[in-house]
Order: sequence, then structure tokens, then C-alpha cells
Amino acid sequence: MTIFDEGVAVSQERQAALTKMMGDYRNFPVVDRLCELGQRPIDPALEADHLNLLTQVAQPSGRRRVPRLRVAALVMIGVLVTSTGLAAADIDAGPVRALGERIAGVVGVDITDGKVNHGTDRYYGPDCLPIADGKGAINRGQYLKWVRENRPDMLDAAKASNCGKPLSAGTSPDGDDNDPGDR
Amino acid sequence: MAADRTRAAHAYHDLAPAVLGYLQALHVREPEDVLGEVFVQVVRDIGRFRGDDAALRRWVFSIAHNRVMDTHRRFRRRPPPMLQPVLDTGAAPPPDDPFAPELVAALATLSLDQREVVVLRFVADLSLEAVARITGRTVGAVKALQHRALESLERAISAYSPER
Repeated sequence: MTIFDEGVAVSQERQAALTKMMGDYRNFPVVDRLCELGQRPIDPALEADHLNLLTQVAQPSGRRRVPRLRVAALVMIGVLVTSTGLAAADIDAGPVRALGERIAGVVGVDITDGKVNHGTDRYYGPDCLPIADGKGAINRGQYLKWVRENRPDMLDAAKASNCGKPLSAGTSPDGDDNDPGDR
Repeated sequence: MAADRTRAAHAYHDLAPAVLGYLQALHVREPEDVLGEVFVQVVRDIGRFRGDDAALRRWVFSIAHNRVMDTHRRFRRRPPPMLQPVLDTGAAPPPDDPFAPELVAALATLSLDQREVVVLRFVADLSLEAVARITGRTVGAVKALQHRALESLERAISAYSPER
């Protein structure tokens, strides 16, 4: 039987020899260099970021939370546009922003020097868990809610902590889910 | 669930260097981000995966391959650099890679099919059969692409000039 290789008729024996040759890569020095491309270690900082991300995704509620965030992102865009418009009209946009944040569910604030600020300085020391992208909860209620949903094993510790409580005088000793959010 | 997370973490430790090398060799944009996306999908689906280490490697690179193809379809109107082989006519050079600039430049001269096969075979360290399954080709077709790609790479490396 005649077989064609790149338009040239060859015998079966020749085809078998060609196939064997094509499969034999040991004659090419570049192969070792290609293998090296797949063996370079990952930058430790990148690896740490990825493993942290994978841990969050692997959380029991993580699988539900990620798709919801996509929708929430669209909602947030609408809310922020609205609140910006209200601000431009000198109308208090606080409740709109708070609504958007509640819909989004997971919106954090930067943690600086062991505290967060969302209108008021609140405690966020090393014993407090970050809730989104390394950021802190906006208040006590959001913190406890997030811990209950995502880290139930840490709920007792969270309730015993001061995470999310205002640092100003008169800190409430009873932080719970009913703690109203800041505007 | 804990076992799945552990397995996914082990998969990352074992395979992330090869996956990143695969993405970089294909000139994928922001390969570190795509690497993260690949393993996010691994974590999500690993509970349904059944197989040995070789099958796991093939599965992870199937995910990476599909990501690369998705990127290609998304940028269909503006093909990413990996679809624009570097020619001597003065097209944009591939990204700087201090590790192996002549190798990266040589890879850019291959067709997408050739580059994909040779990168899956040797950067990802997959068998001919695994590459054939991932790319939807016969083993014979993979062998042919591999052979031509290696010949082209050797020629391009020999002709490489750092001044380009």
C-alpha cells in the first residue's frame, strides 16, 4: 500500500521508519532546554498568594460565594454610580452605599495598624480574620456574620474578641449580628 | 473536603512550575494570573477527579489548554502575541526572558499547533498519547508536529542573534 508523506509516495516500510524517527526526540538538544522551562520554581510570594486564594475557594461556602460575587460586582457598580450621583447632588449616599455593601456581602476595608476605619476606627488586630482580599470587616456585625458563614470553627474566638468593635469610648461589650452598620 | 484541599495543594506544588512554564512558552498574557485561574478550577473540580498522578497531570494541563483556547477566542479580533509568530520582517519581539531568550524567540517562530505540541510534550512533560488527547489529534499527527517543531527550533536557535 502506498502512503503519502508530505505529498511524496512512500512504502509502508519507509513510513514505519519515518514514524519511528519522528517519535525519537533524543537527537534534539533543544529538548533538554524545553524541559528546563517547566522546572523553574514558582516565586514564593506568588505561590503564597495562590495557595491563599485556593484556600478561600476551597472553603465550604466559597463555591457558592464566588458566583455570587460576580452578580454582586454588577450590583455594586450600579450602587456606586447611584451613590456618586447622589453625592454630586449633595444628598447623603450613605444608606445606598450600605445597601450595596450588604448586597455584595463581602466588601472589606483596609487594615492599618491593627484597625479599620469605616467612619469610625475599629479594632482589627492580628487575632482578627481578614474577610476579603486581605481586608477587614467594616464593623462587628459583618465580622461575626462572615465568621459564622465561612469559619464556623472560629466563631467562639470571634465572639470573645474585640474585632470590629469601635475603638472610641463606650465600646459595646456585646457585639453581635444586630450591630448596625456604619453609614 | 479536607482531603480534596490537600490533594489540590499537592497538585499545585507538583505541577505549578510546569503549568507556568507552559503558559509562558505559549506567550500567554499575564501567565501568573492564568496560573491562579487554572488551579482555582482544579480546586473546584478535584472532588470529581479520579485517577493516578499521570492522569492528574493530564487533567490539569487539559484545564490549562482550555484556558489558553478561551483566551484565544476572547481576543479573536486582537490575537494575543502567541498567535503572531515573530518573523524576520520585524514583528514585535517576544517578551524578554533572561532565562532563555533565544529559546523563547525560537518558540515564537513556530506555528501555534507546533508550539502547543512541543510545549505540552517537553515543558509539561506529557506523553504522546496525553498530548494527543488534550489537543484532539492522533498520536501520529502529534509525532509529526513534534518532529517538525524540533527541527525548526534547532534551526531558529542556531540563527538567533541577540541584536534582533
